[in-house]
Amino acid sequence: MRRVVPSMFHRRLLLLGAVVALCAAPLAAQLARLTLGQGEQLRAEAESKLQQSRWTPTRRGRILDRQGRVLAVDRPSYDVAVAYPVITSEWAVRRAGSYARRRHREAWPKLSAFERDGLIATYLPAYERHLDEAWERLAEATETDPEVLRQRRERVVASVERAFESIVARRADAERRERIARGSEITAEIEERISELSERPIREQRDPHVLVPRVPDDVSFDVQRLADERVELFPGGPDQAPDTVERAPGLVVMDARDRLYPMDRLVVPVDPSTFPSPIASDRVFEVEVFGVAAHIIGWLSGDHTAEDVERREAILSDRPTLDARVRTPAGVDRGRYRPGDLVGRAGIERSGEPTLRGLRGLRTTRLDTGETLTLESEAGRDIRLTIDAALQARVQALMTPEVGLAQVQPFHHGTAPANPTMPDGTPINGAAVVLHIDTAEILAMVSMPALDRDLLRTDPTVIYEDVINRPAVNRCISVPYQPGSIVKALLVPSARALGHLAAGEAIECTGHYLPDRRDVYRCWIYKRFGVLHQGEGGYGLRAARAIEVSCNIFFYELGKRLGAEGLTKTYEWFGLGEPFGLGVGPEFTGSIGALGTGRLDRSDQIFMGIGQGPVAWTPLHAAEALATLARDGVRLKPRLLLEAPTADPVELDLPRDAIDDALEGLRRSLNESDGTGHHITLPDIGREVIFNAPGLSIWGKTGTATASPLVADLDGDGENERVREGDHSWFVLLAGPEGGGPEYAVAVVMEYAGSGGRVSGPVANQILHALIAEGYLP
Amino acid sequence: MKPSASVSDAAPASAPTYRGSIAASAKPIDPPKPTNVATLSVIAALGLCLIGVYAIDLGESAAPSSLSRTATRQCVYIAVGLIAAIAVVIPSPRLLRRLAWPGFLGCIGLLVFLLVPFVPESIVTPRNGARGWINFGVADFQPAEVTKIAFVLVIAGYLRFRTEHRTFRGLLPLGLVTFVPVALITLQPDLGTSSLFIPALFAMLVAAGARLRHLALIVAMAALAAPAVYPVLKPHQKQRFVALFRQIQGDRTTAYDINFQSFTAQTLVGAGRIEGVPDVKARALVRYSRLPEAHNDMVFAVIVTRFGFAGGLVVLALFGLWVVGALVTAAQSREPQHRLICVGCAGFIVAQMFINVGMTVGLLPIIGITLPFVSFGGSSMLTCWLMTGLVMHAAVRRPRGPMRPSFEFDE
Repeated sequence: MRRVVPSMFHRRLLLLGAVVALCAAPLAAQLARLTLGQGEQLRAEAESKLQQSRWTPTRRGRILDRQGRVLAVDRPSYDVAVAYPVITSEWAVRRAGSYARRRHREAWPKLSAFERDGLIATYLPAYERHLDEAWERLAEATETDPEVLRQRRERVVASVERAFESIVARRADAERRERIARGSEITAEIEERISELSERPIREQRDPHVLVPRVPDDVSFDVQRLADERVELFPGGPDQAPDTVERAPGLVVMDARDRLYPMDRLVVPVDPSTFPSPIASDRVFEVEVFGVAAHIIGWLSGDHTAEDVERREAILSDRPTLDARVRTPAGVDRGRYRPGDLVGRAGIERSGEPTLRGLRGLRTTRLDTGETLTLESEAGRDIRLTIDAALQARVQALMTPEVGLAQVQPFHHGTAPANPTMPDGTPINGAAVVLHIDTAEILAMVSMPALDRDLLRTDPTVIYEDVINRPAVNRCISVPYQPGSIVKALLVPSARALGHLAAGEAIECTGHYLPDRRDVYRCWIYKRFGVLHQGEGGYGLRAARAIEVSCNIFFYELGKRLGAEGLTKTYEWFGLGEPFGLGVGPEFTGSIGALGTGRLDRSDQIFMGIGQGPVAWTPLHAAEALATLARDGVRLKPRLLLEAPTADPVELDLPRDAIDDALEGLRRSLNESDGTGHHITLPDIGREVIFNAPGLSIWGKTGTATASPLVADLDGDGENERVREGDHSWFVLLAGPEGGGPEYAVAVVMEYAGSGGRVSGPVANQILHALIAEGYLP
Repeated sequence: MKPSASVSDAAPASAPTYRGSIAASAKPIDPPKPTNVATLSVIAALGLCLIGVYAIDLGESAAPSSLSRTATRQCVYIAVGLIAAIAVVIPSPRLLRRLAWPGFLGCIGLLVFLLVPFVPESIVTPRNGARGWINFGVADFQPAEVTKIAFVLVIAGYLRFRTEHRTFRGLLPLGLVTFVPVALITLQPDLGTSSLFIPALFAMLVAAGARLRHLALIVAMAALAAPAVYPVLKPHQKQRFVALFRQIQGDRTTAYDINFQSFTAQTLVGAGRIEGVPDVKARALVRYSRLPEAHNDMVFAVIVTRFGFAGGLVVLALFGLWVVGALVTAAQSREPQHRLICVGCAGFIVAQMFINVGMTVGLLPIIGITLPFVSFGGSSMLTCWLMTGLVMHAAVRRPRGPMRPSFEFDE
């Protein structure tokens, strides 16, 4: 070196030049890394700042009944929200701080932290007073009780703090795991860094929170005016420079949607002239029903959960066409849940969520060119139900206790001893299903007691804690009942199909099934009156006659002959064991055999011949089974969505003449004077025909099924009491215009109400009147 | 600004004493008249100024229709700077030497004045919390900037014929002279400007033949002592270091708070890619990214947005050209004062460019410092042109007759 550059000074200059080049190298390298390496991504990031996007609101789809009546619809409304720092009053501290800094600009840098705090403290009260006033104004504008507003603020703070704690814990956990995965040791210093990293504020600590949800238009205008107002505040006294602040800091009016259920409360005329004579009257009266079809329609809630988000993602990944439709060009799901969005929580509102949920529009403004690109919002699609809301309301009205049919009446128990847990006047819970046979469309599905939407909104615990009545439960599909005698007609074709019963074969009623035991497996008529059923020729009973008089001996014998396998097959043919898939909540699929085992011993088999023992199903199963019989052994899954494709019919291949026998038995049961569903015997009045609607052909069967007692600890002594016991009262019915075949299948169950004919019979009769009133039957 | 033969250099006032022997080949000979390489520095400076005016306009107005107010003012500053540069070429080196100490002391006086409490804010208006400007009515004046010039002249004058700086103890007076302005400027606080004095001093010491092992020892000691300084830093300064570390670690969580400026700058730099974006688009990108100090400290990000990697390299190359001009002028010069002035000015310019670009591309913490010739600012522009003028001052003066070699020691 010394030889090449003899001058030291020149060598030193070269050294300096080399240092400069050496320093420039990392600059150039980093420049290359940013522009060449990450250029594409960073360009996109920079360009994204040129755009400002705003979501435009959308509308949730409606739910309609089969006639097009609106059952659920969106109504525009507004949420009043306040920024979190204002809710916590932190706003006052911040604002006082910035005012103090401004006022003492020169002195500020030299002040100690203590002196600064002292200065801030002198201005703080003015801001705090201002906030207090703002809350008062807000309460006034929204017509809310200030105390209520205060409680809501506390709730918001509590929930945000909870969320913050859990998020901080989750972040710290993730951070710690990542560091361990990277192989770094967790020292106290790193632990400190982790907690510092995880304690950064969460979005909820900046965002506005809804304090007054769903205010109508006029209120929202008042609140907006309040939000736009500015006032001059004199934190340092009247002679000092003012600070211009919002009249109500952090106040925001947000677009929100309210869900209306226009047919939820209806006034329904009831004509009691065709009621059983003890409660009959000529005066038509009106009944107000609430929660019409609420079990089916379901409801929404205003705060979505992580599960909702996951569910939507799963649905979108399952359905690529839907996925393509809901995304913006940038790939954002236009229907994704945002704070305050309503989300289906139950019923069709829940299962129909992907269809009903609307897609927000997107208005993107290019800030530099002012160009606006609008992606129109898309309203959610309507869902049309097979339910006839008017019929549903009528059936519900009939089953409202005040009307009389659904509260314990003296004539219900007749001469038999009254049910000690159900004194006269006790409301009877129950369920009723009306099915259109040809299409398997469910016209009405009523579960009583009804669900009170107001209560659901204001105090849902009252609903969920009512263990006796369980108003939230849809009894039509989710409560197991033993079927009782209503299954007798189903056993005839299946026994014939499986070769256990010959055509025209007669079985004698012996009163008690086991020749040497008079106390078990008795026929009901032997048990009550000590007599035997008579067949047509005086001897054995043939199938139709056995159904007509509901002879137990005949069906004990069928049960025994069918055996475990045959019985299981029979019940499965008629719909047990498969969910309906209606999408309106949990469904009981039916069960056979001791719970969980499916095993049937000999005694079970005999009892299952009359629909007792270890077998249970729901009212919808009963209606479906009868409808299958009426379709000559073709099964069709009941459905609730009018526009959904029908399920494929299943041909059961039952002998036609056996089905005719069964239907004949069902016809006679209601139309012949020996039939168990023909009449009820009233004290002092005598026999009274149950079905009194003219011009109809009817088929049907009563059922009185033993039920396990309902126990609950009502008095809170730690021990359960029997709060309900007795038999469930069943009635299944097929009906059509006179001379024609059956068109509608009806199933009614009344819990712990006793005799099928006496309690459920009159309800079924009134359902026929309702079908006539709504024009379904002549 | 033609090199004029009539301007003569005075002979050294006192006879120097050499401790080392004179290098054999460094015989005083009358060199052939070399080309004036300082012209390169002038060309580079003019280029940078042009780019700067455009970038300032780009960062400020949405449309390229007419020059923005800031850009127009920058043009005026450039003109003032040019005049000052010409003015500084004219006086004799002796006059410069004579003015060095009084000028330096005057600057120190101004720096002290800035820190005097109770000076009305109409005179000393704090900007971003720093008391660095004196209001002269027409324009604000930043004494720290001109202090650089005075500093270069003082150090150059001091080291001119000395050999003490070859000893470790001999570095002490230089340290003291440097400490005064650095401390005063740090107190404003203007860490950016104050941090430039050490590299400039080091460059001059290296050129003046100080022992490299002394300088390395000082650097090592400073590196060891650096952590001790950290607790004394102001919260916002600490935050910037923390921000830089997190950024290097790849932590993007700070992109919207403490690291906003740095991330925005890097995003814009990256957005330029290779070839940059068209004028209107670049204006929009800079405007809506809300880059703080787009016309000032962050002007380099604006340039790269507009002209991409290529433009960034051109800017770096222009600085390289300026430095080459200054260093080659130093190499050609025989007058020790000229040599050190060129090296000192180059030290200031390079250090300032390095820190500014480094913070813009995310290699250094954000610190308030301008990009020489490019960023908006009168005092800064004036200083940069004064430095260019000083280089030219050295270039136009050729030694007449035999001249003793300076700064030639045995290593």
